[in-house]
Amino acid sequence: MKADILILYLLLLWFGACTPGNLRKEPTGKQQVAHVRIYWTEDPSSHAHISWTSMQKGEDHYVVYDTVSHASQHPRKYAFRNENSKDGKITMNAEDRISGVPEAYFHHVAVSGLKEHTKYYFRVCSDSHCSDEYYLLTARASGNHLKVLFGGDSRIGTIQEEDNTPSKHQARKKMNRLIAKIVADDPEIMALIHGADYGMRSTWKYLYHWFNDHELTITPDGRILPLIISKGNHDHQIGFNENFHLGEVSDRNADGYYYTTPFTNQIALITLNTETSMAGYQYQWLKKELKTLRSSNTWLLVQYHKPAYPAVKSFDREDFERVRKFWVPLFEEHHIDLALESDGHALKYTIPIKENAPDPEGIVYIGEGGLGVPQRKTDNTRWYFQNGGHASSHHHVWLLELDALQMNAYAIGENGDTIVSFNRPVRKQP
Amino acid sequence: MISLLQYGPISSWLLLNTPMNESYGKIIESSVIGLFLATALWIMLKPNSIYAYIFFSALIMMHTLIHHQVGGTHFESLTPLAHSLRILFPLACIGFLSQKYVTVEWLLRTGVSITFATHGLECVLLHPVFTDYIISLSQMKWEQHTAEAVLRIIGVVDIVAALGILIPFLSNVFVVWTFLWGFATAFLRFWEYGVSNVGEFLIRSPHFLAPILLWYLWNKVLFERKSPPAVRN
Repeated sequence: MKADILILYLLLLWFGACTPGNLRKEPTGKQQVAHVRIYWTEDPSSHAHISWTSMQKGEDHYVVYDTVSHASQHPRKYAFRNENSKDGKITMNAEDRISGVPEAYFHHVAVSGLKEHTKYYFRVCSDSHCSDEYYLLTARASGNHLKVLFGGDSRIGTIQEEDNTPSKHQARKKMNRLIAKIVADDPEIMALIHGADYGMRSTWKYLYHWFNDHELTITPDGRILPLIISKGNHDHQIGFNENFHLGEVSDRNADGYYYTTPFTNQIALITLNTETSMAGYQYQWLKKELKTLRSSNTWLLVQYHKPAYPAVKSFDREDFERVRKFWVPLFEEHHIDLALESDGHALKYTIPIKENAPDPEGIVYIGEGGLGVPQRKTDNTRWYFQNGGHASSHHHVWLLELDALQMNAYAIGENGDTIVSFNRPVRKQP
Repeated sequence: MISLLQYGPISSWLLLNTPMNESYGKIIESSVIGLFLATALWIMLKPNSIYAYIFFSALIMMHTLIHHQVGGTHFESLTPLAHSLRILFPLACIGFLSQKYVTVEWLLRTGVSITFATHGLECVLLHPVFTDYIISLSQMKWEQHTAEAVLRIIGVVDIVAALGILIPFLSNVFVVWTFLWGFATAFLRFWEYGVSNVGEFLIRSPHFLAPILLWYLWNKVLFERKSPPAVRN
């Protein structure tokens, strides 16, 4: 009898897994137009996706933009206006509703035909509600100089200011303020490459706060740094597709989000998606892309979420084995210059690796997610951190400086200090 | 245990959702690993103790719940269902010990059915890891659309098997299929990605052990019970 009661109790617990857990109230947002952000995809010198959230459904959603500022003028003064290309109501589940985040609507506008390396001042509007004026700096069309930021993992767990984990929430805000300061101090920084994992889940309860915090990356003079995003293992829910819509790139071959961003005609970044098939369409696409890009680019970088050479989690995990099995041989065949990884919640850079062994001609893997997510203890004993590599637990963002001769990489800590740095000479073209 | 060591879901959840720092989370995780080890020893030393099996089932259920809460996996809402058999299998062992064979039979039938139906659903929804297994097994020769077509067929077969295992007069056919397929898919985990992933194979062992137990139950225990006693001369 006792055993039967225990079995029944265990079964009830098990079914309980399918229901939402305890949730807390969230403050309600009051802004009508918020969360303005920019995504770069395949043509950053002339094209961008501008996105925002409105708190009312509205009817007329658009972006106005110009190469001169009209900050204190009516939106009609801007030379260009684009209507939204995709919008809709943000999906909310029971947990989102209980958490108190407001109902809201996503809007995405693609702007094209921009001039290279030019400031575009813009405002986003939903009906009569318009945002403040911000500006975007487009990429250069040519050259082999680039400054860009890279970081990943800005997810946090229980995200209440008033609960007993304020420091864990503050870290993301602190990193975002730091990004704004770095960019304000050095306007030549062109974009933030984000290695994914934006929330515990990509549901509105988490993304609402992520977008609120992301506004802190806007510089005091109104510059919004474009995001080049990848997709992580905590970004599987519909909220990701709704709020991080990238046009065709999102829809490419089922679950897309793999694409090439040419920063110039000589520097390219390939973004891969570890959350869809790695051996299928994406693999075939990557093979072709690497073949084409390697010969024409001085610098060729790749970013993706799950690491090939992890600093924290088990090296033997199946998901990391898959990266090494399907993609790393292609990276090595085509002499990638740098691999940007996330997921582990740590700071790392490896020694150059080729065929799973140290090799001066190999690839350096950096990462591994420090944009606010609580940091984990690293395993510094791994062979790829010995004699020149590094692994530690620090919130950080990487600053990459590329020129015709070398790449300098600086891991900047939450206080603005450089924690570690390294450089790599340009490869002789194979 | 290996799964806990490799994935660290407990310390991960504690790190993200509580003020606890990682080292305390790791201590708790190590304690749970110790509990798994102790329970395994308990079962080995006292195989007739029903409490050992209940505790073991509870541990696996807790592991499932934490995995589900941490998220970060494909089709994570299906995780508790996909792990059904792992949780029910130790409970079926209790029934076996106390000779409640009909209870055992239906616990196993239910577990196999839910697990196979869930995996079938994941196949029909084109789980990308499964797609890559198929492409990899074809030596990278198959295109993704071919692999996905095969995956859909596998998914439908799994769902049919999940239903078939519940139908008494058809069960023998499906028990063979579930054994073979349960073993193959578990074995694939470390066949493809090395001995270090043996934990992924072992944790799926109920997927092929449960069909064996069901077969044994039907063809030995229950069959013999139903057979008329031998005529004595």
